[in-house]
Amino acid sequence: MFAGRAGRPTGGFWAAIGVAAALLITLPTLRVDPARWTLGGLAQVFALPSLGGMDAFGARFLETLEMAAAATAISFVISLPLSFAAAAGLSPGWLSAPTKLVLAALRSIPDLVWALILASAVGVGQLAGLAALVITTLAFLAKVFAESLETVPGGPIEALRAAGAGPTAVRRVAVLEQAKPDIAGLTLYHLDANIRAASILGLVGAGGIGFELKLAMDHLRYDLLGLMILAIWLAVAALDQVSRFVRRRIGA
Amino acid sequence: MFPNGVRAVGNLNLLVQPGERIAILGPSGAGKSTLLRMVNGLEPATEGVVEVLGQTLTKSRHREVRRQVGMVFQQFHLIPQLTVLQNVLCGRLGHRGLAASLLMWFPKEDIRMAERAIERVGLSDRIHQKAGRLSGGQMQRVAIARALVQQPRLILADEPVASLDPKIGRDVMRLLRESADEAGAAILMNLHQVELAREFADRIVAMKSGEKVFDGPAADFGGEQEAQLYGESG
Repeated sequence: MFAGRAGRPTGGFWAAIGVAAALLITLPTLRVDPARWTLGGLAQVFALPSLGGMDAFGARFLETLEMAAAATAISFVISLPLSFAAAAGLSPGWLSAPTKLVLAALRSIPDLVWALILASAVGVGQLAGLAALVITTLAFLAKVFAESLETVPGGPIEALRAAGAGPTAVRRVAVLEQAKPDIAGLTLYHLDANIRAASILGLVGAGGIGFELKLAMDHLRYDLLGLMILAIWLAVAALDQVSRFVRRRIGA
Repeated sequence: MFPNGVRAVGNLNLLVQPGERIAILGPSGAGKSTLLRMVNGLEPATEGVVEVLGQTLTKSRHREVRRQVGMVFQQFHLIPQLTVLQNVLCGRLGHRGLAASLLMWFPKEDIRMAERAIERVGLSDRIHQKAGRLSGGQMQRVAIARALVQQPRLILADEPVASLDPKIGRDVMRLLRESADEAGAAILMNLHQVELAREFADRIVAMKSGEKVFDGPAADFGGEQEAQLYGESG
């Protein structure tokens, strides 16, 4: 299975070598010390949570969902035109190459770091968290949208060009319509990722449930922690159903 | 030069008269597809000139020419996510401005024209169905309707039935010829089946290695010419 047609190793072979090498290098540095484990806390987190603590973090939880939804919506609107600018073949090289570079640079900084940077700029709070999510989300969405625009089947593009459609019409109809199912799926996927990201931004004071999570941990309130995790899980699971439904509606 | 004519001059001279139905035959690699695509500028003419609709084809005239020249492809090239109606309306994009391009808003007359074309190709009952769910024969019918709403003076057909089974292919050929006749459009089509060319074209042009080896009435293209064209490798 690892041999190509001419008996040469395939990509799968090199991938296996790479994984093995990475494990060999990193495993010895991982310190495992069971003496320090306190599994009681973990058990409490996953014990049946009491709903009594809901009102303590309910507002923060909604704030988390709002941040994730708003960040995804704002990023979507910005990244759609940006992805056309970044897509090779759909915009000139002098525009697509630098756009891709900037997006890669934005992406290389994790959202938690963005939140820290922005908190120092606009102050601690929800705005910093929202802006951090917008930056990382649009950098990601614009990149994957562009990839999906670039790989759309070329036949309909040619057919529309042959019918005298202008460059705008070709991009809007032949390219975007074919990429739509992909774009919808990627956006929904990232909304789900943003709920998780928004849940920890509070750790650095950037809004959402993260702050409550940290408080619960600091106060050894594992029951509250469990409840919060349950709430996040429910939100993500509900979104999963929504996205499955939307994908089925949009897919051809 | 005829005002409606097409002339491709390289090592090949071809003049298409208004309303004429020409089949181009030849072994694969003979340059049939390239010839067809040179007519609407999808392929640049490396040597010589292409004259379409009475004028030399230049880059600045591409869109003006393409608007009036329909094209049908072997692989149909529909947008599978769009409905039959939306796909057919794509044939009007060249005639319409930004609202149609960006919002897919078309004037009522365009929609009526598209509905008529869909009725003509026998797919009225599928008008709101996604094109991706149609059979091959139905897809090519949609593609023909898309070409018809351009109100073309010429239809280019690049192996229009090569992906369809023989019975359906024949139906599609008949539809293509009849609807082009009704629209007053000439047809220039690449075919790889001599039988279809004899049945559906008035004139046959045979090509081999980019050269024209036969040009005459379809009835004159007999077994001898066929053997010569496909017999030895060019």
